[in-house]
Amino acid sequence: MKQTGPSDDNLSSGFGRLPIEPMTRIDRSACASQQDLITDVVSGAAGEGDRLRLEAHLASCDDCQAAFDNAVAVVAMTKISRPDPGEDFWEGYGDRLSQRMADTSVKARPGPRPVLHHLVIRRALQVAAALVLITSGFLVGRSSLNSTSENLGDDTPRVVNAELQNKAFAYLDRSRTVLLGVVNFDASQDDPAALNIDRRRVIANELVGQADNLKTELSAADEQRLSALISDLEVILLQLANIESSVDIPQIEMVRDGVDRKAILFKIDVEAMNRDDISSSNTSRTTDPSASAATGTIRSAI
Amino acid sequence: MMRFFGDDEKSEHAISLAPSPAEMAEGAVLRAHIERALDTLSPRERTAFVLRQHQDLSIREVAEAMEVADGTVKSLLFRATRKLQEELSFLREDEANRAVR
Repeated sequence: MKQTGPSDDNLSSGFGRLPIEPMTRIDRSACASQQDLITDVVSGAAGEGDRLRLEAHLASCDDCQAAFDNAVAVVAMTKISRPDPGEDFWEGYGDRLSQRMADTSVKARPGPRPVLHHLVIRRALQVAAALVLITSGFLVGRSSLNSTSENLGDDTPRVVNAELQNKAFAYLDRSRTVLLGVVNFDASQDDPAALNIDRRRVIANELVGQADNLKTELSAADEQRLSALISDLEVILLQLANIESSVDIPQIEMVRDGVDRKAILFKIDVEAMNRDDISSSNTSRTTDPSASAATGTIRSAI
Repeated sequence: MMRFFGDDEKSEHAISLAPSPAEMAEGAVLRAHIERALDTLSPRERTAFVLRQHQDLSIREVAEAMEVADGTVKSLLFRATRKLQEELSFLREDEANRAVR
């Protein structure tokens, strides 16, 4: 464990004991040791004792408080790369979308509208554009192959876990494929036609239609995590299904927001690793999906 | 201007959902910075960080998932957070400067 607080050692070491009145001046060497404690606390590694110790110090030290705020902000930044429209917005969002979908028939506006200029990440997104093309082609082939096998009936009240899981994984695979291109889409660089939004919308719609049954089955089989993920996906897919045209940049952005906000692609990847673990070990999964899923991630990462 | 910090600022976006072109450009730049920062982490550091911070797993759960000791998770988290601070603090400073302006 790292240094955790201003101890006698810290005060008396270094350049020697400084004449400091504790309540009015802050010992810099004590603050230096707080840096590690701040990182510990912010990183999520620290226990309750460390947190309390830091809190006590921050109450009397503006510099460390500022350093702490900065560290918290940086960690938060990695989670929210885009503004969240807020809980009020997400509340009932799925219902509103369903309503809008019922109100408007599928239609695409012809012709691109003026797109953005001045984006710095051009190079990176050229790669993404290529990926979109590949994904789209892949998508068309896959969807026709998979569409019959994925029609989920509710006539099977209790399915064998492995079979149900395969169903869920197939669902996640398709969702991921549909979403990936959208997430990577850059309006300033990519040809909207390459995004093939009509095709994605159809598949998203299809997936939304399957979500309810799948969720019910998963819940019944005590696969709460998969069920929750598909719940999250359902809202995102609804958004996607509701995009009116490939040049509707704000709506595409909204889909991206949702995917980011819920860490959808990461979670799907985790489930995919988990599935790979299952199929390679040929054992049936019973409990603690999070642990084994994450283990899959690690193994692949190393 | 985009804001990234503080719950009190969320409400703004509930009203105006469509980002302006400037905001979108800024958002894309920020995302690129964040992705680059996460790329500087080792796979183990990144995994520990994401599981703990983004997936809300406990230290114990992360340790079990990664098949390492609790202490290893803690030091991975420590290093990840340090690196991210080094990579991303300047964005936070930009933000503070603009708030003053």
